[in-house]
Amino acid sequence: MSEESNAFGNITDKLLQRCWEACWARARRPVEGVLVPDEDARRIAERALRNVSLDYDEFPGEAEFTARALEETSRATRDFVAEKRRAQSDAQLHHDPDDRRYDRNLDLDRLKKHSPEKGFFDREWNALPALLRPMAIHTLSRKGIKGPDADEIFNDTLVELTKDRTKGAPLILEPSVFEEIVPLHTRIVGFRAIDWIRKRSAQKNRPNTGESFDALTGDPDRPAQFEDRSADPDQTTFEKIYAECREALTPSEWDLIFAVFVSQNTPIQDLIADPSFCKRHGIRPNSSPSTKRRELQVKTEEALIKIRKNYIF
Amino acid sequence: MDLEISSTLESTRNMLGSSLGLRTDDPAPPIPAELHRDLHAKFSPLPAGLAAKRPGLSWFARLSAALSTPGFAVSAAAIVLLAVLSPIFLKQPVENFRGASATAYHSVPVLLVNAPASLHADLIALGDLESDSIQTLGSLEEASKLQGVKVIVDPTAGTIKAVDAEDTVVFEKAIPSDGAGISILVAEAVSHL
Repeated sequence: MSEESNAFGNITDKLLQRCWEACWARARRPVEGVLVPDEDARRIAERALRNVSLDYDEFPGEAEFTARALEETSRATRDFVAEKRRAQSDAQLHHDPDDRRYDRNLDLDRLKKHSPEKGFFDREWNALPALLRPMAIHTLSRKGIKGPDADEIFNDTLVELTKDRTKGAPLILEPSVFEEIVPLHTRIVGFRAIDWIRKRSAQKNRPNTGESFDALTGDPDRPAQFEDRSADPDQTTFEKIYAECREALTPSEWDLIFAVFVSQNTPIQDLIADPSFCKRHGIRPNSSPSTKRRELQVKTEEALIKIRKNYIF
Repeated sequence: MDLEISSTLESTRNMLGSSLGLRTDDPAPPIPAELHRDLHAKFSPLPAGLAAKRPGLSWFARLSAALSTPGFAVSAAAIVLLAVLSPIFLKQPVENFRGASATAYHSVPVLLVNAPASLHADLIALGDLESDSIQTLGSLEEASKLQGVKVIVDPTAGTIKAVDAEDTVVFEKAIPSDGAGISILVAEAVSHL
């Protein structure tokens, strides 16, 4: 059991392997739609782990270390892919062949070109609406928004990608690789849909019917997946959850959440049978298994509630 | 058996459960051995038995002991000088995500081959060598496999060797009987690399 323990300040072979697997997986697929070759993924994951380890004299706990390593891995991999695409002038490089949400990537550097007079002027923008529209219409349709209302919201979201924000540059300048635009746009669509639903009572007389999804793609041999799974809450990355909720939970609560829900490597009965785990989390080691389970349940629910309150979808 | 979490928290729990993005259809390879060894060396504390073996001496007591032995004062000064200067001489440019011009400093690994655990603890307690650089290995073959410059302390063969990056032995002397003597000779070996 001690081999499974992830007490602060102590690391085990299994803990290191878990952390490595998470970083390698993130380097392999830093964003939905990007697939990095195994050899590059290994190199990036190793470098990220070494970099993050330099920041600590003592092991900070599995949750924090993994979150930091994942963050570094994800950023480094996106930068790596962007640089290679730029160097080889190939926007499709390292695009996952299994990704069927759209046909081909656009050139992100061209989409980002901006002039004070003409704004975002590159002709690459002509292709962006056709690429994003099926996914946006699908998202809006699931929320019951169709027809002219859906088109109006979609047009607004395109404008939102390019307009100056009070707290920073236009959103289109944020992504490193093109694949990041899809979940970014889907989130904007989701927010605008909520606004529309709030105003719906004032717009009762407008027709709310839309086209079939079969009509949204002209290629019968390669049917598109309209759904953008990468924008779903279940696709959220641990590093993002940790970054947003870090202050809300204590290190002990993060340790608990990571062991029980994130890594899920150890069965609950083994966790509560481990005296060091019980001691770390204030569970009385001499209690019966059912009592310890109840105490664990109370503590995990408290931590989950904090994450639910602090994580912004 | 799973925990019975309130239904209102199910979505949060599911979100956490899939947040590492691991896939069964594309399993990760094993962690590279060198990375595994380096992370262990950095974060694993000394086993309790080793750490407790020799109580820590104050810097004043250590200095007094060194100066009280004829000839040791000069050697100790040389060791301190080497400890300060060797990272500068041995710095190697390493590609780094945090800036292309970043560099990493590596100390010369001191490999104890088939050495008793007490020797490892003694060398760390003396404080002359960086604890991260001292490793205990099970065989001379393991030590030979490690690339780059290194100092090999082999009590079985009774030698301390300095091996350069081309795998050439550039220094070799008989191993002293006490920890302090070994520490001084290791510093001398490092100076030949």
